[in-house]
Amino acid sequence: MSGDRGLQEARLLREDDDFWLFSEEADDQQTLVDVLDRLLDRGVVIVGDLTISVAGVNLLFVGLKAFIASAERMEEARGAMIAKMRGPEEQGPETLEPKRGGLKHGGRQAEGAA
Amino acid sequence: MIGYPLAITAAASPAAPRRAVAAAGLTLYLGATPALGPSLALRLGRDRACLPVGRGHGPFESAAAARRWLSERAEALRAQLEWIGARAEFVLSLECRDPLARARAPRDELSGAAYLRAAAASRAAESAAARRFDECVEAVRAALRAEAPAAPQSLARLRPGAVDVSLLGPPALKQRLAAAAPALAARFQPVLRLTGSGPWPPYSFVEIAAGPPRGEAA
Repeated sequence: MSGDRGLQEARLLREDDDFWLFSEEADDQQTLVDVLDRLLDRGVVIVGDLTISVAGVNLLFVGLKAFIASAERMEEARGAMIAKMRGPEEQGPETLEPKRGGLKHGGRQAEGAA
Repeated sequence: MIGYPLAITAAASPAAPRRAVAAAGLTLYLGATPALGPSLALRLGRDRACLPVGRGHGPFESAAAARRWLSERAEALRAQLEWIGARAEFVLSLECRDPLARARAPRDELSGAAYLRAAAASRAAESAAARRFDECVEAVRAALRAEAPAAPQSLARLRPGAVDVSLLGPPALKQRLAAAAPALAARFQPVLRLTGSGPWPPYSFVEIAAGPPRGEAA
């Protein structure tokens, strides 16, 4: 059974009155505050499958993947991603300075601006 | 494609408003994804013998292909349905608290002889922890045999330092395991981390491919 199932699935099934789940670990008794704290601090990924069926006939299958985090965390992630896309030469004034110097001594843009 | 095989019962169940095909006196339930299998098998297994179908089978292109699949292994499946009866699977997951899998790498600045001594000590510590873990697993299995002598057991090794001990028993086994689990966890607390859950569909005691029922006799 272990290949297909795990503690995560057991946590879902324990909402069923007939299901029994015992764990001695404190972090298994997560409260809503714990979940919210993690959500705001680290972000969470939600993966799910949704099947819509009518009269026993499966009509639609939807696979869902979502990343949820606080606005602050998303801003940080966005900034890091933009910096990565721009490359190391445009990340800050320290790295910009040598490029400006190079243009001043021989670049066309520096001449045109002057 | 008409769907993945999810569960098998002898007679069709009105509790499963789902696509099903019948052949050789058996009913095979189909779904759009294998992920639907555990909850369906659990629901069907509450009032009848039900075999869960694990991942790796299907999907079927047609109802005829599904019926053929069912007919080819009907005899073995009927034997397993009879053996499973109205029993479900309960699982005690045991995990070693010592870091068996994480070798303590000697520091780079050690000399050659010191490096070898540290590596040998690391291996010896891991072997000792593995032995302690195996002894505790056997002690837990013995305690479970005493608690539920009629319940067949199955042992699955997930990785070094982690095993699942599964028991096949009636729904009432849940209360007995729930009562026994805290004492077992406290007894082996220095070595093991114990998690218990159930009822599950009897995955550990069912072989869908072919052959006789799995699991040792009690």
